[in-house]
Amino acid sequence: MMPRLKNTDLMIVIALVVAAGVVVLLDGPALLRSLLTLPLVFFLPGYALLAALFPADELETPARLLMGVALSLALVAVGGLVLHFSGLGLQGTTWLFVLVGISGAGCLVAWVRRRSLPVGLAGVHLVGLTPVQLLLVAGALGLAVAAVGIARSGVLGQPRAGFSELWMMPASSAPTRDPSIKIGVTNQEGMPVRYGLVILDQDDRVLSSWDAIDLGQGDHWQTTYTLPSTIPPLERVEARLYRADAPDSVYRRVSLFPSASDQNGAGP
Amino acid sequence: MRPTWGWLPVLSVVYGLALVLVAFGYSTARSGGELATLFYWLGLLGIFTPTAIRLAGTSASRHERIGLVVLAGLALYMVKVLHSPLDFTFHDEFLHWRTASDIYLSKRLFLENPILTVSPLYPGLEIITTAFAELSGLSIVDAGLVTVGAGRVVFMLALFLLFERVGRSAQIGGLATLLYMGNSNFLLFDSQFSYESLSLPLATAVLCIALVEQQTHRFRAWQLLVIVAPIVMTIAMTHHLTGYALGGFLLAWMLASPLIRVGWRDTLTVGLTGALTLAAILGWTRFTGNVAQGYLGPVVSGGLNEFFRLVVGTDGGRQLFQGATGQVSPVWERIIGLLSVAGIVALLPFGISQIVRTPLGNRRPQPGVAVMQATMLRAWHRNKGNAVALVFAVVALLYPVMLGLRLTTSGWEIANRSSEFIFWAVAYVICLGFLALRSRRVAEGVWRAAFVIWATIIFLGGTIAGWPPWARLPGPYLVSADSRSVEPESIAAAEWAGLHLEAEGRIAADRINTLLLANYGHLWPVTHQHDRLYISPVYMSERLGGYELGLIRAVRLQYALVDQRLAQSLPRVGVYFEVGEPGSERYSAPPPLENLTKFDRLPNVSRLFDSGNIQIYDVEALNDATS
Repeated sequence: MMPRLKNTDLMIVIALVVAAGVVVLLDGPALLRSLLTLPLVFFLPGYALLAALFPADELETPARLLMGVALSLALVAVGGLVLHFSGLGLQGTTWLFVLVGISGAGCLVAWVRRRSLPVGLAGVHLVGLTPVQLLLVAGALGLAVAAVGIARSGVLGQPRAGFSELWMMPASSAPTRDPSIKIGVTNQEGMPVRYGLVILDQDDRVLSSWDAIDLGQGDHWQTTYTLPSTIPPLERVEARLYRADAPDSVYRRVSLFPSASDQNGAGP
Repeated sequence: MRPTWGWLPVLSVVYGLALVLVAFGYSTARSGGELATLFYWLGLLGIFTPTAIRLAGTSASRHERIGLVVLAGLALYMVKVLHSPLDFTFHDEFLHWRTASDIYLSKRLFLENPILTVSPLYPGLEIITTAFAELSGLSIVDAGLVTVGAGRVVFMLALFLLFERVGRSAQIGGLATLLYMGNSNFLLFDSQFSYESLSLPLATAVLCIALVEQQTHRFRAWQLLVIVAPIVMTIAMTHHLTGYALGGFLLAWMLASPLIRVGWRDTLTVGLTGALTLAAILGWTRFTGNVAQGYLGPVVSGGLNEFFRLVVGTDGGRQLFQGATGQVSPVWERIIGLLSVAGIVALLPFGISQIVRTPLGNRRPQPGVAVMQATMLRAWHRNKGNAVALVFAVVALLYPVMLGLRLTTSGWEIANRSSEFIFWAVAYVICLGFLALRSRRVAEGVWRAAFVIWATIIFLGGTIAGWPPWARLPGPYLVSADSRSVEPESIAAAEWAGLHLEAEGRIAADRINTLLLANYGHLWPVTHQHDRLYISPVYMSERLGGYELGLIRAVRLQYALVDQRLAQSLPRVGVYFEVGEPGSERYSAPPPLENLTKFDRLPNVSRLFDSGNIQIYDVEALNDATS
């Protein structure tokens, strides 16, 4: 006996739902995962619910599409509330359970209700594009993708002034017991740079220095320096960063009162 | 019957080419090229005008018209995506990004958001976005772009079907939807990752569904309930203002029904939908503790007060086409903007008259009118008994009132935020108005050309009114200019702060750096919304006196981020820190650099970070200082 085709749409829904579930659980390739979860979130639950409500295909295609997407959005939003208040949390596995459950339940109800319907109702309406039209639509999609590529490259290639970061922090939250400091440099100049770094006390006496810190674009450098015991607890420590191509000009400057926060916290 | 697609495949290629033009415009703008604006506007026209030409004709099938409005709507949404294809950069997007990040990281709802306190209490958009992010593995940004895109599909379909149902004509459905794109918020504001971008499409869908049921009687009451209930619930939990607007519209629809003798069953449909909406709104408002009123109330009262002062002459009002820094829009933009408004206002009476009375009476239209005359006649006759059309006619009268509010600084906010709801009515009414213009001697081609020109002017005018020129295209850094102030150095500083500073440490910063600290650093910046004070005097004052130290102590401020670029120019959006900050109405010059860098001269204040333009200070010691 030939199988009835009137539930083709339900079979497609179930197939997509299962495929999405599998690719999510198995942490499949990113592109495939995105493509399969897109309908799972934005269309299938709503479509399945509509199929259950209207087994005899009472809705025209544009209205069915509208309600399918709108209902899916709504079911996800309300589902999020349920997940929150149930304590299950809004995470991948619980979402999968909710959306697969809604879609599956909707398809099941639709299948049961359609059993009493004659063949011919409740099918899939084909899009009706000719090969040339399909080619044009594909071309349009390609142009849209190209536009995104142009826009992205515009962002990445936008002329911007480069910059370097210098920072200094206490190495621990109790600097009176651990007089170490962390110092870091980051190069975002768009080209390799040689830096010089000097640490000074509040009388501008050099405590330590690094003459040739070579960093490429995007590179970081970090070190931990232990302050000498001769430095009083509340004294300021300063770090000055120089560029090798401008050694007489302070390029970046940071300063630290290593014990200030600790002392203030202990005050009245 | 298989749908026929007519010109749709060809026009889809045209849309693709137009998007390439827009992308070139954006890229050119980033490098300071002079043709950027030309590419941009040509791209927009490449999407809108061919669509108008095709929709104004009579040969397009219904499916083609639906396909055109959906694709054109999506193409215009892509204009926003192309503006910021890698990350969110619009001001309001950051507000909701923080809420979405909190949900994504904690797997639960209703965590506090320092930069928009109401956002966690209206999490519909963020729930859907994080659901897709969790399942797809995409970032919140990419998932958010897709979510808003899905909303755009719903929006275009709902608008078409709504207008088609009201006007009983697929051509009216397409043309009115096209004219809706002339709403000043359509291109950018309602395309951004913000709660209204989802709630507005859903609200339109509810109106459409209710009207479909009223006209076809295909749903049983329980079916309508199952469909509408989750959607109105989502609207209520997504955006406060949309819920109120939807509830108000449904109420007006229900009240208008007896006036034109709509049957009890049809009134019941609207009543049921309205009751569900009201229950959802009231329930959610009660659940959230009515925080939306505290958020919206000052905006409404401030706007109305300023408008009243303008009317009685005690307030000078707002300069049209002029930004906060005194920059004036180009002449052509001002002309188009005014023509657009005139084009709408002039057609409103014609459209309203078509609804409240049929000028033709029982006469048939004269030959020479556009070929869809028979459809027009049916539409005109049915408008007379159509409660939604009647509501549209009344709501459209608010448009000129909102124009008046736009003349004030505070009132502009009310007018702007209500425009997308009022335009439901305006788009339909002016569509009818234009269709009503008829002449025995006007050939169809001339009529179509006139419509295309008029509609294009409305679209361009709406786009011009929506965002100022410096915000429409990307480009070099500008001081306090929302997306134009988001750049790598500020982002890097925020990321550094997130890695090295206390997780819940209180940090102060200017407007844009506050947004970046809250999102890239996931820190807890000081805001007026959350902390009930303006921190700006700490930065803008010459020295830290008792008042400024009191502000620091009030929030237990630990860190202060200083962006020295604030001293370079006046703020583009009118404020450096937050709307309402002290002195913002009197800025005539940027703050002196010495004021911003005063922290270097204070005892026990550590300068933790320096990237050239940006410094971050540890100011915790100031909490115990007396002067």
